[in-house]
Amino acid sequence: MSGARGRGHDLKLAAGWPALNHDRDSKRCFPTRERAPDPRTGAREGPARDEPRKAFCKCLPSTVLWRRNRTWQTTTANKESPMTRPVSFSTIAAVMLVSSAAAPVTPSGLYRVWVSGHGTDGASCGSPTSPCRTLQYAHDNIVLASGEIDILDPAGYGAVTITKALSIVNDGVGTAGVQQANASSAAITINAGASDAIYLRGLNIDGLGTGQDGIVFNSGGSLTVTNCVVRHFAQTGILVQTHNGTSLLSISNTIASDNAVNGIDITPSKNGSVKGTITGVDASRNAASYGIWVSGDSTSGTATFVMVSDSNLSSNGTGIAAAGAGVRFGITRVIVTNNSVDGVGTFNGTSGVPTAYTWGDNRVSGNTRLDINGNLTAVSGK
Amino acid sequence: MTKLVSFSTIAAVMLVSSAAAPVTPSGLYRVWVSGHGTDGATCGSPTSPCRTLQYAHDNIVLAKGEIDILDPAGYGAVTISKALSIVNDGVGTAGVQQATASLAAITINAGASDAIYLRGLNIDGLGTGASGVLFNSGGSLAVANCVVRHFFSSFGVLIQPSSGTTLFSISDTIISDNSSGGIYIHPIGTASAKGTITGVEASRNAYGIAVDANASTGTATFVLVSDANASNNVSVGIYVGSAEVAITRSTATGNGDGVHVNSGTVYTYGDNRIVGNDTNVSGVLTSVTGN
Repeated sequence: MSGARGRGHDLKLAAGWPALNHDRDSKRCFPTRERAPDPRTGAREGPARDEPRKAFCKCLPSTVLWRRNRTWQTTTANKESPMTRPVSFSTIAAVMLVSSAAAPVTPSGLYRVWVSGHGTDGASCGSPTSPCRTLQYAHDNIVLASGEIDILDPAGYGAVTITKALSIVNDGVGTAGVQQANASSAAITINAGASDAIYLRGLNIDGLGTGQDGIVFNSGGSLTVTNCVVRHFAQTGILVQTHNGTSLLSISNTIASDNAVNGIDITPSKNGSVKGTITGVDASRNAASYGIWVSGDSTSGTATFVMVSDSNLSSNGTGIAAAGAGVRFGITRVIVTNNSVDGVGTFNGTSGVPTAYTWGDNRVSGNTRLDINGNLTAVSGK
Repeated sequence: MTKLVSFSTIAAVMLVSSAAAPVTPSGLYRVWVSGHGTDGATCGSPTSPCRTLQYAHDNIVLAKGEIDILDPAGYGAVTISKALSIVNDGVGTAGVQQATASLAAITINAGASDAIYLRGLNIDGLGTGASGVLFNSGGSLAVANCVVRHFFSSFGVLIQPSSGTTLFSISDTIISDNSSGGIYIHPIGTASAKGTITGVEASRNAYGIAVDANASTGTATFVLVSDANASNNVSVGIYVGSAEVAITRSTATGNGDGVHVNSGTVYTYGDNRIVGNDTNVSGVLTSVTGN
């Protein structure tokens, strides 16, 4: 099959490396870097903090298959390019040490930073035995890009603005709270780079009825929200308004409810598109508008596709609706009931009518105006 | 339950003959690791835990034993060479990071009948580590309730035995944001791999789930995929080559190809949700009915 199409999907192992190549990363490099124990904690993860982390790398000297205009093409990548990890501060610190023995050693960062209700923000915080206190301090001063902030114990950890690839992980230690009471601010704001992956797990995000939005995704490569609760905001629980190319979204096993306007609002702008999955989500009792709203009316991007499965979209204004010809969404095994306007809507926005797929396995009933306002496209399972 | 092995008896005898001799445990069937622990010859009990997985593996835990996570911490990369369980049963994040580009976070080079079990681990490649779980040899591998993210050049979970039939189970696990691939079942040599992939999110990789036995002379590779979400992978959601794969109650959206059947046979029960891909199905699906 693939041979006929010349798409080269064969996955082969060559010299210990799978020659699995693809378009997105064909130009990325493999950094070479020393790994050494953390001098303060002895942990074996990550590079030494006081070690210059300037690295050089080689791109894979292999045939790279990539895709342009939906056709796989072949090129040979064998370039060298310098790659400087976020680093240079450690070098500066080292120089300072030479000139002044009394100068404090400032850590250049960790790939894993712990926060705790018993922690204290400070230049040397971050280990399990000396955790930081707040997400924002850990983000700004300690954690390296692509790293991870981990929750050590139950506490409130404060609102945070994320500007780099980052994971914030609470793996079941108790409530990891992020509150925002300010009517013009979000609890978690994401202004990251175009290829940055943002990952949020196990957070209890609350707007106390006055905070504007729960999670606002302005820019970044991808956002994952899993095992979170995003409640009680004056506007929207999770607002995705990326504006540069295609951003990826995954929301799973999460509650986005009791927000005054929308539970989840996906409205890319400029040339943005959003491709995402929403699985196992309760987006209910978002009073004014939508459990889930997807709009293509503010963007020239046409790749937006949102797949919603195994979710409960009830007692909102409308359960789920979309507008714009560049938007598609699918619903499967979804409950949509008791919404005060419609259950499911496909609206004729300024850029046309979206496409909605159904497999005939949703439960859309008991909505006040219409269960289905618009058209659903029936598709069969495979 | 902590089982000290018979060496303690010997040590006791030694103590009688020489009070100054240090008591060296010869191994435990249960070893605790903690962010507050310290690696050393006597570590391993809940009150005196070890600090790293590798030290506990190399020096303390006996084959067929278990390393248990006592509290949230990063526990470092580990190479496993014997039957072993590593278990975090909900105490918080048990992290295993790998930032070195040519290395895996967890490497398994075990004996042909050894059972390896990983539960509740948060395995992260920081965008540079090669692969999350690299299975080279062993009898079986179970990965449950884990997160395997953000690896760069290889795969989130790469199962590539070279002989015999490896049994595996991957369940309730997130395998995402790996810039090469999520899960790659790839027996080589004479090996086959038989297993289940259940409740897995394999999204935002190059490939979500790939099963390819084309480099093996083994003929028994069969994988059942159920309740999986393989979406927004750059190339393919679920890829099959030279193997039998059954797919049920699974979703593949936003991929290049939703399901790509290069060779082999893919069985479906008509209950998968495969839409919104550049190509939803490339190749032939074989419909089968439930029993």
